[in-house]
Amino acid sequence: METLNFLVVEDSPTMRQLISFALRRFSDCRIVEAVDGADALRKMAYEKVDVILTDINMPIMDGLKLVSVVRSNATTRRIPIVIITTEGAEEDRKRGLSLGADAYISKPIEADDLVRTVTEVLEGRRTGASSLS
Amino acid sequence: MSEKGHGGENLQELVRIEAALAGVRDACQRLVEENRSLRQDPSRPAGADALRLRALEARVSQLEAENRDLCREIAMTGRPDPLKEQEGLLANLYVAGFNLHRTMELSAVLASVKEILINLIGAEKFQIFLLEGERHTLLPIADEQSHRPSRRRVPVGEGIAGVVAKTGIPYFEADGRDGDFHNPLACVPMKVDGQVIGVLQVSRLFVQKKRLTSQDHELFSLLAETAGTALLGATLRQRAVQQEGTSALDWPAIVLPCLQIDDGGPQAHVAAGDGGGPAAGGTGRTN
Repeated sequence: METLNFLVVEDSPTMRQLISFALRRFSDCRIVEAVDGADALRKMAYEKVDVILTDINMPIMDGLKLVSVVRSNATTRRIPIVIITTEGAEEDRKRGLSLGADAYISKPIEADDLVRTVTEVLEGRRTGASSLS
Repeated sequence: MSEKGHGGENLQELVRIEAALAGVRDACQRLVEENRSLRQDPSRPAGADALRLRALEARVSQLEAENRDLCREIAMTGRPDPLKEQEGLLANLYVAGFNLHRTMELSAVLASVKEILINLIGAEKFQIFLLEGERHTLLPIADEQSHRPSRRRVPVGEGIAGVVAKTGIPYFEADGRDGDFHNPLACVPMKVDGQVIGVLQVSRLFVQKKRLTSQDHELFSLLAETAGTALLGATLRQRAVQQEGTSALDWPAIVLPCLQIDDGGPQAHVAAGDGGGPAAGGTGRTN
C-alpha cells in the first residue's frame, strides 16, 4: 500500500494535533502541518501531498484563498481538499465547496467522521479517475 | 362401437368418480375433525384474544424488519468500537494536557483552555472565572468571544458557579445542549493543590453536539486538575516579569534565581556528588 501524505492546515495547535491523531488511523501515512495558507503553499513546494485538510479562518492566508490557489495551479489542482468549519459557518462551507473543496467536516471533529470523510473523498477521486481513463 | 361397450365404459367411469368422491369425503371428514380439535384446544386464543394475537404477530414482523434494517445500517456505518472510543479519549486528553502546559504565557494558556472547550468539548458559550481579592467573588477573565468579557462578578456561594467555587464540587446538567449564564450545562472548579482558584462553566454546546458525554466529563476532570495550575503559573510568571521590569524574552533571568534556590536543597547536593547527569551539570553552571 502506498503512503498517504496529508497536509493539515490549522492555526490552532490543539486542532492540528487532534486532526493528526485522527489521521494516524490510516495505517500508512505521513502528516505535514502548516499554520496558515501561506505556510501550506510553501510546504507544498517541496512536500508530496495527497490530501489537504484546511481550516477556514486563519491569519495571513485563510482556507478559502488556499483552496482557490491550489485549484488554479495546474500541478496541485487535482489534490483532494477537505475544509474544516464551525457549524454556524454555512457561508464559508458553501464558498469552499464552490471554490473546489471536495468535502467539509464540522468542529468539534470526531475522529471517525474525519476518517470516513477522507476515505470517501479518496474513493470518490479514485472512481472519478478510473471513469475518466 | 356397440351399446354394450358404451355401458361398460360408463360403469367404469362411475366407479372411478365414486372412488374420488369417497376420497374427498374422507379428506373433508379429517378437516372437520381437525377443526373441532383445534377449537377445543385451550391454548388457542379466540375472539378478542385472537385479534390481539394477530396484532402482536404483525408488530413482531415489523420489529424484525426494523431490526434487519438497523443491522444493515450498523454494518454500513461501522459499529461503535470501544477500543476506538478509548483511543479517541486518550488522544483528546493527551492533546489537552500537552497544550495546557506547552507555554507560560498567560494569554496563550487562556487560548489553550478556550480551544479545549471549543474544539474538544464543543462548547459554543462558556465563561472562565478566577477567584479575586479575599476570595469573595468570581471574576470572569475570558469567554468564547474574548479575553476581556463583561466584568459581571459572581459572589461566592451564590448561583451555580458561586456554589461550585465554594464547595469545589463540579456540577453537570443531566441532559440538553442549551443553558445560560446562570443555568450552565457544566460548571467545574479549577484547583491547585486541592484549593479552588477559579471556575469553568459551559452554558451552550454547538448544534451538532446533543449533550455532554462521558468523554467530556473526563476532559472536565483534566481541566479541573490542570487548568488551574497552568493559569496560576502563567499569572505568577506574568507578575514576576512585571516586577522585574523585564520582557518575556528575559525569561532565564527569572528562572535562574529559582534554580539557585533549588541548588541549596539536599537533592541537588546528591546530584552534584554523583558527578553526572544533566542536573549536576546545571548545578555546576549556576554555582
